Amino acid sequence: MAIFNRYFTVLFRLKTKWISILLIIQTVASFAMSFFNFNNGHVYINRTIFSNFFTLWLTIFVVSAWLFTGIFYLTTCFQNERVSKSQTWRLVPIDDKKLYFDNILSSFGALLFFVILEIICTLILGVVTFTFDSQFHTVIIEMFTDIGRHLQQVDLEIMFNFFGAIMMAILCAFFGYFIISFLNYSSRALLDFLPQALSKAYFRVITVFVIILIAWLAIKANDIGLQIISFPFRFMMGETTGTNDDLALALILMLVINLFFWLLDTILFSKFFEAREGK
Amino acid sequence: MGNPLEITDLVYKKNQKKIITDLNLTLKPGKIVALLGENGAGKTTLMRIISGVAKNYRGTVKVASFAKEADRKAHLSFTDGLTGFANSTKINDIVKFYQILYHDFSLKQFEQLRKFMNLDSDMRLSEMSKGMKEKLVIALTFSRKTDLYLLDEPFSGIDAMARKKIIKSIILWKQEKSTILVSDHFVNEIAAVLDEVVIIKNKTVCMHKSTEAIRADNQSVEEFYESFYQREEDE
Repeated sequence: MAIFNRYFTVLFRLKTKWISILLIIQTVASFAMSFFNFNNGHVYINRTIFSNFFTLWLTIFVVSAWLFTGIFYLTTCFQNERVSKSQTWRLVPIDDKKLYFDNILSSFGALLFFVILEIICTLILGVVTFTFDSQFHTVIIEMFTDIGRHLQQVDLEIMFNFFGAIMMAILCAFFGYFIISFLNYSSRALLDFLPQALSKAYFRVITVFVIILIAWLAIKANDIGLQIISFPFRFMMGETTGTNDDLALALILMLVINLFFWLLDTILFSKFFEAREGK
Repeated sequence: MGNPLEITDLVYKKNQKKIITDLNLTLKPGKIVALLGENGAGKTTLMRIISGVAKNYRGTVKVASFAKEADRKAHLSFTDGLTGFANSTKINDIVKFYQILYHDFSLKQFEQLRKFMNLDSDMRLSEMSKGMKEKLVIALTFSRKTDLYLLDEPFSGIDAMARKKIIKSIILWKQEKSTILVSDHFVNEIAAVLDEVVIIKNKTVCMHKSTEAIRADNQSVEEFYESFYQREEDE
C-alpha cells in the first residue's frame, strides 16, 4: 500500500503541475475578453461601468470554466497514456495492476482538484462582483431566498437526482480514461502481435473494418445487449423517459461498463502493453 | 538470497518473429558480467524482459529468487534513459522522484557520484549533452542498493577519459554481493573489470565463460569475442 500511495503522490504532482498556469490563462483571458467586449472598448470609468465590468468578467469566467475543465481533462488523458508507455514510470517496483489504477485515480484526483480550484476562483470573483454590483447583489440575495424556500421542499427524489447527476459525471470521466486506454493498449498489442512488415497495413485494414462494424451495429442492431450498453448514453442525451428509475438503471449500467473496461485495460496493460524503449 | 539472476527456457516473440529462443542463464552473486552480441542480437530486449518492462514472454525469470515482476523491479537497477521526464526537469527533481519511489535509493551515494561525474544538481535535462545524461543515468543506477544492476550500453556517449575513470570506479560503487550485467561495445575497456562473459547469438546464449578461463587460453576478452565470431563465420 505504501508504494501505491507514494506513486499516487508523484503522479498527482505531475498531473497538477500546469494547473496554476491554466487558471492564470483563464483568468487573464476572461479579463481581456470582458475588457474588449465592454462598451466597445471605450471605457468611461464610473461606478456603474466598474460594477458591470465585474459581472461580465464573472460570466465569461464561468462560461470558460467548462472549456478549461475540458482542456484539463484532455491533458490528463494524454498524461495517462504517456505514463503507461514510459519505461521510467514502468520500472518503479509496483504491480502493473496497481500502477494502472494509480495512474487513472491520480488523473481523476487532479481533475477533481482543478474543479475545486475553479469553484474557489468563481466564488472569489463572485464575492468581488457581489460587493461592487448592486444589481448582482439583489439577484443573488433573491436567489438564496428562493433556494432557502425550496430547500424545505427537498425530498429524497430531488436528492437522488442531484447526487445521481454528480455520480454520472464521475463515471463519465472514468469512462473517458478507460476507453482511451483501451484504444491505445489494444492497438499497440495488435501492432506488436502482427508481422512487422505488414503490421501497419494490417492495422489500417483492421481499423477500417472495426469502424464499419461499429457503424453497422449502431444503425442495424436492435438486440438487447446493445440497448443495455447504449442506455446510459441515451439517458444523457434525453432519449429516455428521464425518471428516477432510468437514472438508477443508467448509473448501474455505466458502473458495469466502467468495471468491464477497467478489467480489460488492466489485463491488456499488465500482460501485453510494453513500455517504450527508453534510451 | 539466491542467485541474482536465473533465467529458464526464455522465449520471446514480437511481430511474429522470434527474438529470444530457449535462453537459459544463471549469474552468481558479486560478479561483473559482460553481455556481448551483435546489434539486434537481443541484448536490450533481454534486459527489458529481466526488468519486467517487456511483456508476453514464456519461461521463468527470477531476480534474487523473485519471479513476480514487481518484486524483480525492487531487486534490480536498470539504466533507464529518463525518457519519462520532461526536458525542463532539473536533476534535483529527478532525485526527488527516485527518493520517493525507490526505498533503496541513497542520497548520500548519489551526491558522491554526482560530484564524481561533475554534474550540477540545478541543471535541466535540456541543458545536458548525451554524455552528461549518461553520467547522470549511471549515478542514479548505482545510487540504489540492489542485487542486480543492468547496464545497457551505458558508456556510448561518454568521452574516452571519463569512460575509463567510470569503468575503473564501478567496482567501488557496487555492493560486494551485487552482480552487474553490462552490455557494451567497448569490450577492451571494460575487460579489466569483468568476471564473466555472456555472448548472445542466434537468439540465445551461446557462450557463458569466465574471464579467468579465457585468459588461461592466452587470449584477451576482446580477442576471444572477435575470434568467436570469426570461428562462427568460418564454419
